[in-house]
Formats: sequence, structure tokens, C-alpha cells
Amino acid sequence: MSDASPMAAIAPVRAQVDAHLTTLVHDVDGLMGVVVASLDGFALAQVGREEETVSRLAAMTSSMLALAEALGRELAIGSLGALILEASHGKVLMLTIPVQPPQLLMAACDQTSAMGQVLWHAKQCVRRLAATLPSDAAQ
Amino acid sequence: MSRCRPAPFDACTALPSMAMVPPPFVEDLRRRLTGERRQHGPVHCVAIICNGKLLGWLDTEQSQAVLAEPSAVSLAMLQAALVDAVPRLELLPIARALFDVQARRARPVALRPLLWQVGLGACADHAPLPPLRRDSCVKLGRWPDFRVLAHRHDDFRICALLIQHALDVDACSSILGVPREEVQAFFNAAYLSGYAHTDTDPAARLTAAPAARAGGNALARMWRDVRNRWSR
Amino acid sequence: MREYKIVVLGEMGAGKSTLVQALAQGRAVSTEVRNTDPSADKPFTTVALDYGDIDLPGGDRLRLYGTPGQIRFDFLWPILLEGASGAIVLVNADAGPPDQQIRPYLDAVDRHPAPLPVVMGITRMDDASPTRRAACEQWLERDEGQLPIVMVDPRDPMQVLTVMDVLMSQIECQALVACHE
Repeated sequence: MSDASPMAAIAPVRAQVDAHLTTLVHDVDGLMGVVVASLDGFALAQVGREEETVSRLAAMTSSMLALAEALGRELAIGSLGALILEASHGKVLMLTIPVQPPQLLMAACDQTSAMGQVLWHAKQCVRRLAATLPSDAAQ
Repeated sequence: MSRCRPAPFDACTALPSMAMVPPPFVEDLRRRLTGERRQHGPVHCVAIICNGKLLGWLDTEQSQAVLAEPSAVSLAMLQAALVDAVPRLELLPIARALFDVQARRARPVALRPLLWQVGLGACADHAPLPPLRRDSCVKLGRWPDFRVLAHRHDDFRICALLIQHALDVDACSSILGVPREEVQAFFNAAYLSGYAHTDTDPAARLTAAPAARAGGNALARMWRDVRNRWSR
Repeated sequence: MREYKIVVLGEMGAGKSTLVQALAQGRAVSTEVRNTDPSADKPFTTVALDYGDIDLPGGDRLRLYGTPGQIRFDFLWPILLEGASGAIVLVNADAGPPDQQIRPYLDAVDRHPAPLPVVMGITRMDDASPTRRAACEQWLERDEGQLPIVMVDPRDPMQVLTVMDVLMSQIECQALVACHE
């Protein structure tokens, strides 16, 4: 386990991370908010969500993706790429950010969004985040 | 190991006058074990006397006991005296320093497990331990420390039932399908060690239906099957 | 086919995942990830659930759910407790006052719509400092004692079976009493 918490690790690049998230929200119609979380459910950065809900969303994203990973292992379909939820009034997209240790991106959209557009832009954002976020090469 | 000699009587404090009638042994012991022990002030150490003979020492605060050597004889005398028609047992307050002396001579044992074992074996004919009667309704005041129980599966079931309801031996035996003598032994042990009390409130009792059997719950029954398979 | 559910709760590091794995004989599904909380000396932590099952006679099944212990995952506790037949709350003897440790988990169980049989298990007594061991002993001796408390090493299958025996005794008696009332 790294000696520094992910929150401390992200601090030097926080402004860039926020910029990437703001760009994502700006570029995608119907995208209401986005959260970056640690694998174990701590909120690291966010745009567009209320502060008091962000920590719960981060924890929920962690749980959802961990369950999806477990399902993927049971089905032997490889490592998790994305998890999409579709509901009557909105959609949620969750992606892993390929850094070490991995982090999570959760994008919450209203019903006007098109999932294809959300997915494409979110993956672009994940690539930019992966290039920006610190990665523990030793792991 | 050197043979331990019991301390002389003049090392005991607060000897009762011969004119005072000591309280019944089991009730006196239970009061010291349960919350009522605080009424006895700072005196937590007592000696067990049987017809003038010293059987051992108890520390109800630290929950420890030391039996007078030979301990097996003292234990047998204690069990026999518990069911005597003529009361022979009494508890004599002693100074803590005296208990500590005995604890250095012979390794103390945990008090409640000792009393539990004494209670289990006190009545060879599976009779109730006085002052319990055959129709006494008993309820557990709390779950026993599991290091006390013999890890017999039926003991857990009796605990689970008696923690919720006061029952007599026949009702408990009928509801759980456990042999009467096992239930009586449990009642004796739980009462002597202070975990259980008699209950005279009819509202707290559970009336056993004669047809009630232990297999009433499917999950528990199936678990026992699984458990037996795994234990082989 | 009938399915029954037992849920295991307790603080991070109390041994919940280990206990579920022991009962599921090593075949439990795990959602452990790397722990990033520097205040917790544990490399991995459960973030969703542990899941294992045991085949019962007659085709029935016993499902075992381990919960994540951190408070930020408390939204999962009522979800996992739904439909449960009983609960095990584990207390880490080496992690501070036991009565404070169990409070959030017993509160979650108390919010269950029906009274739920509960067993508490004290783990890691051997690792605990003398002060913490004494605190656990005092907790064991406390006057209330309305819930059973068992010392358990969740790595030892026989000790885990004893915890389940106690829980099953309570489940059975709850059903027996319900029949008579």
C-alpha cells in the first residue's frame, strides 16, 4: 500500500484533473456531474455534484465496479472496462482509470444524454486523466 | 508441587458470631456473583467452610477460586454438601491478602467455570439443586461466558430459549426435545453460577405444548445435518 | 428450493471475509481491493460484499454475505440485511473498545424490520495488547449480556462452526417461541 493517500497524491495535479472533468461536463449534452474516486471508494475530485453526496457516490461507484469485476471473473470475460446503468430518468457510466493503483470515474447523465456520446467523451477524459494522474510504477 | 496447607482460622477476618445464622450458601454465593455483590461493600473474598472444614477461597471481584488441597476431595465435598438436607456450607468473608496468599500457593481457576462444573455434577440422580425445586421456573439473566459452556450443542439451544423465557425443566425438555436430566443439570449449573434466576412471574413463562419438538425450525435442523457431515 | 441468508458485519479488519471464506470452504466471491486509507493497517478491504453459499439438505441453500466494514459503505448494510435469517457481528479485540466498535452494526441490525438473531464474535484476542484484552474481558463480564458473545478465530473452521451453532440455536428458538405464542 502506498504511504500517501490518493487524495494527497492527486493534490499536485488537482487543477489539471478538475480541468479535464470540467471539459467532459461541458462537451457532453445531459452530463450532470462526474466524480473521480479511489478503488476503495474515497472521492478524489468532482464537478457538478453537491459536496455532501459526493462521498456516497464515490463509495457506491467503488462497490458497483467491484461487483462488476467479480461478475467478470465468474464469467471469465476479462478485466472490467465500463459499467453502464440505464434508468427511467437518467444513465450512469462508470469506468476504471488505468493508473496504478487504478481509480474510478463515474459520470451521471440525465435522460437527454446519448450513451454513445457519453461513452466516447468519457473514454477521452479517462485517457487524459491517466496521463495526468500520478501512477505508482513500482506496482 | 508442595502440599498446600490451608490458612489457620485466625487469619480470617470478620468471623460471624455463633449466634448469627449464616444465609443459605447458594443464595449467599449467588448474591456475591450477581449485581447484588456491590451491597457487600469492599469484601469480595470469601472462604468456603463445610462443617468447620475449609474447602477453598473465592474472589468474586476477579472471578477466581482456589480449592484447598487435595482439590479433588474439596470439590467432591462441595458437591456433596450442596445437596445435603442439613445445610453445612457457609461463606466466610476474608481479607484479600489471605486470598492472594492462597493464589500464590496454588494457581487460581476461573470461578464461574468451576461453579458450572460443580453444578452440573452436584446431583447424581438428576434432582434439582436446592433451593431449586422440580417445578422451579428458571430464566437466564444473561448469556453465559462461552468458555464456561461445555460446547454441547444442546446447551446453546437451552441458553437461547431461557434467555427469552422462564421455563421449568419439563417444559424446556419438551420444547427442545432434550433429555430431562440434561436440562436439569443445566438448570443446576446456571443457577449455582449466577447466570440464571428463578422467575415467579407467570407472564414471563412459556407454556410448552406437549407435541412441540426440537425439529420445529427447518434451517437449524438442516444446519445440524451439514454440521454433522463436516465434523466427520 | 428455499434460501436462507446470514450476514456478517463488523469493523474493517475484524475477520468478516475470512469467516465467510471459512464457511464457504474457500469458494466465496470476494470484492476486495487495495486499501488506500493510511489510518488502517490492512492491505486490502472489502468494498461491496463477500458471498458464499452452502448446500443444505433437500436442495435448500444457505447464503452467506460479508459486508464492508467502513462507515462510508453503510448504505450497503440494510440492502444486504434484507431477508436475513440471522447476523454475526465481529469485534476486533485489538481495535479499541468493543462496545463502541459494535454500535453502528447493532444499530443497522436493530433497524431490520423483524427481530434478527445475532451472535457477536470477538476476534484477534491473541494479538491484542493486555489493556485491550482486559477491556474485552470486562465487556464479556458486563451485566447486560443479552446477546451471546463468542471468542472466535475466523481462520479456524471449527471455531467458526461454533459461532454458527450458537446463531442457529437462536434462530431455532425464535421459531419455536413463535409457534407457541
